[in-house]
Amino acid sequence: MVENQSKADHVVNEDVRKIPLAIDPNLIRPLPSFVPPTNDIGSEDQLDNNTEQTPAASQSLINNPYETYGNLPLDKLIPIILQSRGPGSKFADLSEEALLEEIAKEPTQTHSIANGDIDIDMNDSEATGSAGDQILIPQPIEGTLNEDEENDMTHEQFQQLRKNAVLSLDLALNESSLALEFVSLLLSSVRPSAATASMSPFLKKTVPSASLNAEKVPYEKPKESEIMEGNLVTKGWKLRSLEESRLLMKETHKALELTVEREQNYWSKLSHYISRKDVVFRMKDKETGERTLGLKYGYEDSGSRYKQERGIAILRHEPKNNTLEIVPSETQQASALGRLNQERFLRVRIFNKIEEEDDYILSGETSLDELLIPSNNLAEEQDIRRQIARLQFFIFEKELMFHMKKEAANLISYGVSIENENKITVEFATEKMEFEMISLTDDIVMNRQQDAPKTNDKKARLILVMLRMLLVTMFKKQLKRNLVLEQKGESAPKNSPRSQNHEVLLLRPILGKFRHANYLDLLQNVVKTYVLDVVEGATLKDSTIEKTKSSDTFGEQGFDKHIVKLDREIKLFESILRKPRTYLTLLLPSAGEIEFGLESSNYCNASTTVKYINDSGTTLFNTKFSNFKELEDFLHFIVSEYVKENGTQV
Amino acid sequence: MSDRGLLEQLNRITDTLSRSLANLVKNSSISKEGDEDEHGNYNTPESAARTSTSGLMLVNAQTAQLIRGIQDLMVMTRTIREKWLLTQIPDENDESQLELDYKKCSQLLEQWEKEVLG
Amino acid sequence: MPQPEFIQERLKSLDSIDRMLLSTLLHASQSVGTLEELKRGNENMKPQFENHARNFYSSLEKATVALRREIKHLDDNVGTRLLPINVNKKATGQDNDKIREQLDILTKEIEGGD
Repeated sequence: MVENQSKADHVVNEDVRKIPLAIDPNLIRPLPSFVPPTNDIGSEDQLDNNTEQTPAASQSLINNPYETYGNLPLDKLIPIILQSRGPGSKFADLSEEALLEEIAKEPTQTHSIANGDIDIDMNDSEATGSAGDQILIPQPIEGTLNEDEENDMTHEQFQQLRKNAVLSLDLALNESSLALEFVSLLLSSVRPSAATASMSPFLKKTVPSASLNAEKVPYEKPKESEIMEGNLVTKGWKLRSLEESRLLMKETHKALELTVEREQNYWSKLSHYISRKDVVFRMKDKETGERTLGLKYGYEDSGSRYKQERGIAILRHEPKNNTLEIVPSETQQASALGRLNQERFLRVRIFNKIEEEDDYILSGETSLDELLIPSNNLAEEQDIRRQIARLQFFIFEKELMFHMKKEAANLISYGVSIENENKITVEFATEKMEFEMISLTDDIVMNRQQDAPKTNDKKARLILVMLRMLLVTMFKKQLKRNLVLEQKGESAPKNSPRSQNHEVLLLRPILGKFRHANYLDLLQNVVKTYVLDVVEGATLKDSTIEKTKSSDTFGEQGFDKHIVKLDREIKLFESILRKPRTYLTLLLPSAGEIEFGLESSNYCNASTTVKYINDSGTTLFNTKFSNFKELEDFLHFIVSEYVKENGTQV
Repeated sequence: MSDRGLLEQLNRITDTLSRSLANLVKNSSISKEGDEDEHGNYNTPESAARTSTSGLMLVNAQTAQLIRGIQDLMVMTRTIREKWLLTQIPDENDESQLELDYKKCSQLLEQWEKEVLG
Repeated sequence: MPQPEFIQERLKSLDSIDRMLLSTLLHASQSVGTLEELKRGNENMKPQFENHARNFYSSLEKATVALRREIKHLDDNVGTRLLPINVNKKATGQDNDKIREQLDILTKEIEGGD
């Protein structure tokens, strides 16, 4: 029964698909039943019900597509068999002999059929075996390095191959499981315990143990020719494997030789152009997917807290020209986003107001940094260093503008406005300053020296230098903070935004200087109009230096040398960063003196303290004005009440 | 001390490498014994094919191991290169670490104020 | 600003190790090639096979010895030339470079100006 049934299966499927073990997937039901082929055909009605009703998944050993056929009632199975044998065939014509004949033909047929699978080609050994001495010639080895094939394979082809492989595996598993069941059953009559161990629960349940028997097949000694053939095959395989091994090593050697050459070029470039100070680290080149090295050029470790850009570049070896390229990782991302020119620099321009008109005229601007002017004929080393310096320059300028914009946002009431993403303007009474990020274009480079020098060029340059130095001072303050915290054993607080904003001091110190100078002018004018011009013999002197004697001898002990050094450098800029203040003493002949203090609480505003001390040293008034009009009135009052009166009395 | 890992790795790979060629030769002659032992175990075409298949697999495995070993050692040379370049201590006497000329600098800054406000 | 000479030497030595490894692989492939000839019955390939196998072992040994020496060099220099493991190198001092650069510009503006 078993044999018959599986034979029938073979016949059915063999011709349907021309694949020995596969089965037409269209014929496989989504839920195959698990009734083994040993079932009686007599109970087919009941069987049919079973297939329909019980999913019986728990009983599943494996998915066996053949079982579908086994389960088919004969009235369905026979048409399929006939269909698969081609039109015109009759079931009555099928005889056991004819089927046996077909089966005998089967192997040769099947092997010549390309399955889409990469199957082990037995033809090879057969052919060479019969060809006698030719076995000594190694077969040409295909498939040791299937690179082309792999590269050319489309996704669909791959999917197809994968599907075939899975199908074949399923079938193989199925076949072997069946074989195991068969052997277990056969064994169960002799060694029941060993047999039941390998039987599936289903088999145990449905088939009584020891119900299968077989006769012993006598061992046939192989013929001399078969032994010969076998040995030749063995030898052929062996030689083939050696040849394969040799070729593989040779190919690898060749490939590695190229790799080694490339590596050596890369490292010799690195060792010549990258100094021991540079920070190099492992990273992945997103563009090529290769493992490579990156270079950190940003100011992150030097006190910068700018997070908009990472400040790292890929050190890429360009094999074509054998050159080292430095590609900032941001450029890669930017070009992916379609924003190409990341090279921007800060330009400062000064405009003077034309008096009668409501218009400005350009009176000074900064020039292009030397670094930005392309220079040819550089040796590669200088070129690399220059590339790095440029990257550092650009990231620094961007950070500078970033902080300036933040600072400017709070200075609207002092004539500072952010015109656009790249431009800040500051207006004064008679002039206007523009701070603008300019894209480095060819035009700009070409036209850099066309204009005649202007009166305020130098001023613009000085302001730009100061802005940059003040940013570095911010870095240094940050470094000091980190070091102090480190010394205290605390970790640096991560980005508390308050302190960050608080610490930005770029525009205000510079702006404050100008505004203070204006206020001072105003104050002096007021004093002149209301006192000096009125009171004879009155003199005004600057007492700022006496008033602001430096009390700053701070304890440098206890700190490590790095903190001390940073402190000294930061202190260097104290005169610039200090909020502006000026003290004036107005001496009134025989009427005492007035002390003025012009100060600012936020760099940009101004308040004036006024202290009147009479001749006898008594402080009569000590007050504060933030409005010059009030100050005028007050001075007028003092002069008329105390000075004039006094003077007339004397 | 810190590079003990590398050393151990080196020893391991070298060990494998030196053995893999020997094994390769040995595996290719197992089937040779088969040839001579004609009437013994390896006398049917099937088992001959089986022996040579397993021999072939072993030869392949040893070849792969040998190649991988060489490649691993090359990766190691790269690792060492990276160590030299990536973790090098910068020169302490670097120019940038030197102290500034504070006196001159503060004069410059004073001058700056005068020029800008001038 | 090339790397110090010592580092350059190390890199060169590593280059030559790579070449030794390459020739080790080549010798392996040649050994197998001659072995194949031997199996084919070409008995007079025997000296050649032995030769290639010997070369394989000797170049492997050379490469290994040299590598061991390079690892020792690494070891010896941790703390002097190299940062200890797990300490990340920092791009420090760039603040100093920048301030120097700007002070130079300022000096030029102020002293070289009018």
